[in-house]
Amino acid sequence: MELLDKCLALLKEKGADEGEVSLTHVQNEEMELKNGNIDLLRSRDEYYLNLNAIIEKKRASIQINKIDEEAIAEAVSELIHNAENSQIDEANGVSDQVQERDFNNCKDNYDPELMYKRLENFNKEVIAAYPDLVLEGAVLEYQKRYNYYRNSKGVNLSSNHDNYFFSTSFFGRRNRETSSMNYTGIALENLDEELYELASLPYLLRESVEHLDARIIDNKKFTGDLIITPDCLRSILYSLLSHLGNDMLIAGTSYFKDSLDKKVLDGKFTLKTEPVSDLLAIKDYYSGDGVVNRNDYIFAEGVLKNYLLDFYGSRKTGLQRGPSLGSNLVVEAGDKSIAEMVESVERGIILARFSGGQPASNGDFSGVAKNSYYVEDGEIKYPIKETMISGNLFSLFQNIMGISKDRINFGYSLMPFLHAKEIVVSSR
Amino acid sequence: MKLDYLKSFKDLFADYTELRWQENTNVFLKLLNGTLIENGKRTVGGVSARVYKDGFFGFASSPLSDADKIKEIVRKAGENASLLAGLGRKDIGKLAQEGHELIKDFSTVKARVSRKEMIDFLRELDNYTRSKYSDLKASNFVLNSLDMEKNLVTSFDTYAYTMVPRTILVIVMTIEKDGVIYDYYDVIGGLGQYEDLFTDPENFYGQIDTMYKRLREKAEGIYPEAGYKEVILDSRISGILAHEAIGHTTEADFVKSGSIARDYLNERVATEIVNLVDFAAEYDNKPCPVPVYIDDEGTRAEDVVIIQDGILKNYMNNKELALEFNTSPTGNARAYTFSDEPLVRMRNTAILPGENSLEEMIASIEDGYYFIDTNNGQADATSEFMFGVTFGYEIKNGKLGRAIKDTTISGVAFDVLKTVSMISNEMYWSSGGMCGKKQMIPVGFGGPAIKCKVNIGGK
Repeated sequence: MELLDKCLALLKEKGADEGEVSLTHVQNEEMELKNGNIDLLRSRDEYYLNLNAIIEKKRASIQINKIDEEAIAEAVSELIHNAENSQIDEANGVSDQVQERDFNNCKDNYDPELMYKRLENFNKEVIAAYPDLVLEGAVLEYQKRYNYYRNSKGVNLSSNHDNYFFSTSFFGRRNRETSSMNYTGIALENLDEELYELASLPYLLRESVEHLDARIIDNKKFTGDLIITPDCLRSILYSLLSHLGNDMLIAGTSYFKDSLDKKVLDGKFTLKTEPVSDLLAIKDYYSGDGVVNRNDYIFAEGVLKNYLLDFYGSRKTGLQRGPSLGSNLVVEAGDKSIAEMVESVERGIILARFSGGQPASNGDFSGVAKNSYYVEDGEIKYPIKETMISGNLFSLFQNIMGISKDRINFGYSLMPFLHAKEIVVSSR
Repeated sequence: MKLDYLKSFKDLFADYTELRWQENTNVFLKLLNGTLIENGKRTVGGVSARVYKDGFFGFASSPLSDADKIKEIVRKAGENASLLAGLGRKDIGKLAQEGHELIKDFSTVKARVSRKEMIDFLRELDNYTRSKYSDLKASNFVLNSLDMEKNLVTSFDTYAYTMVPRTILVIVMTIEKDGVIYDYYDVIGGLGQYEDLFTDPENFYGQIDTMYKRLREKAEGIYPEAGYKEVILDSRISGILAHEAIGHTTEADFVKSGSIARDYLNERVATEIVNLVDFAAEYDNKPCPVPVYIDDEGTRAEDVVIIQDGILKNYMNNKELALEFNTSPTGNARAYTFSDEPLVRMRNTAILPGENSLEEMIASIEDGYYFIDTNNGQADATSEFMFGVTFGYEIKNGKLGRAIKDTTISGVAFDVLKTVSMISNEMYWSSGGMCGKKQMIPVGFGGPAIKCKVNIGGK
């Protein structure tokens, strides 16, 4: 792309030893359903130009959202000044994995009237099926992204990609009773299906109404099993993966330090990153460091196969750059039906949402089990409220009892139900 | 300032229109174990138009601000509103259209420092920390500034320019004890640009020493016992309680949806010593962490008294919700970037100080905890909340005991507020808060220490 070549030439002219430039152009059309009305249509057209300069192994970066010559010249001037005044780090550099690639996955299927129809149907169906459910909000957006990347070593990448994204939040309400808020988000290739049939929505909507009758667990404190739902598993995995990224590996505080090719989690657990999966609506062809992503294992049967370091993190630690930086997570399916998993629980809970902080560095966590159910003697007994759980993140993934055959496709991740043991459950 | 330029497009406004030019500038530096791993700046700016027609909003934005582009986005916003108005039916009347003129600029008057000086400042802090505390496994210093500059012109003669900067320093220290990693985190700074807040590294050595002392105490500390206990929530945590657990349930969009607060207006929701206010811009004649003098719909911002003497009195709203609730707009409509539409957001939410000293509050508890620091919080429609607690002490027989390791506390806020029996006479503002509700936005929250009962998620 001519603009990026000009930026690179300017960086070099002003004194950069190495440089990299990327441009993202986003066109976004968003329709919002709020309090029963579709009352906002928002059109956005945005540019993000990222410039990185390295001078004598000193680095600085700048992002602007203008692409005119004056704005770029001003940004480059400031960038060079900041790089000159930065700190030497031998790990600074731009990717030398030279490739010229153009990825294209644009369907150009923006249809505002179909968007309106799908949102309107979603509203009508939910009201009809669940009179005690409140749709707090629902947003349907169409997004088209053009990405371009160039660096001074000759890497030349571009991609374009479009998709829809639907997100909604909701809770139950009957008289003065209110149940906990729940939400989900799904990326879509197209709007062929009605929104209320997507991913985990059919059971999430039903459960929010059931939680109007939630109870405090009779047994005030016990150690039991945990069945984690796909929505919840996705959020918990992000905490686990933070130990595979730049910050914790560079700082030396990662639980998985020096663990490559070692069995660190339960053998039933296999996790992949699939940035270019045919199964998922979102594609992540390459990352901001100019390295093309690939599908690969993160954990294979409990063995750590890859860290998720970027190009800088890789040079800083001497470890390989990750297959991606952690996008499009896919947990391999197990062999259990959800009913079998529930039947095998003597006492425990189904954890549908975890409201808690980031686990401590040693993996200890505690938080509130939201939208969850009490299980005893192999049966789901009742929806619960005001219940806390505590345990250890790493122990949880080292003590897996089973993984479900069925998985939920969120368009950017594919998640099963996961059954683990020895979690402390307490209630008021 | 772009006000005069924006005014020149006023003739294009056929319906209720807001035209906003906004630029957010963010500088971020990160020093990890003495290595500068981030040295960046982000500037995102542009123009947006929002048009209200027959009960529907159309919105359009562009990073470009030339005359043709501005004409195009005003037209596009109008078309979007018309498109929805043609597909649906909803006319609730006219939005408030009272015009205001305002200029408020919190830019530093000092000479701006270079990037090198900022990096050297961080390095001095890091040198002090790592040379004095050589057993640290990791030290992390993150400097993050955000300048929000807004120009607003409306069809009803509001002309406003505001520049509200915020600069914060996040410090994280990590140690290892018996093979287990522990960390401690603190946020320093607030309203203002770097030059007004970070003049001399030595000013922060005392805070670093306190952090290290607490980190050591935590590593030697105990896991709190899980269960329902009497506790003191220090001012940092009571501020999050005010924001997350009460504040969100009293945002009028959430009230309209059906948050638990909808049923409680003019009812007792707390003991009579509890007063809770969302301050617009100033407290005690000083600017709050995130002063909002005029909101992004052009409403002059007012303080909202949410709880008065334990009674729920008011909700926070925007123009459309004020119309629906038959009240006046409060000035809570805020947008994060130029391409975001204004949403009902809190500004500076706080429980007001009481009459007790912290010492007498501790002395009044036989078996409980004093929770001091937190790293995050969440709440939902029921007002049930969860806060991560990163530091505190047990209280035994009216005296502080051993330090505690990380834990989580929870409760239903409208129940917890009915257990508040003492409130300290101090006031602390947290200045680093970012609130997520479709968009992120800087918020302030604060308060005194409160004595109450909560669930503890210990071991």
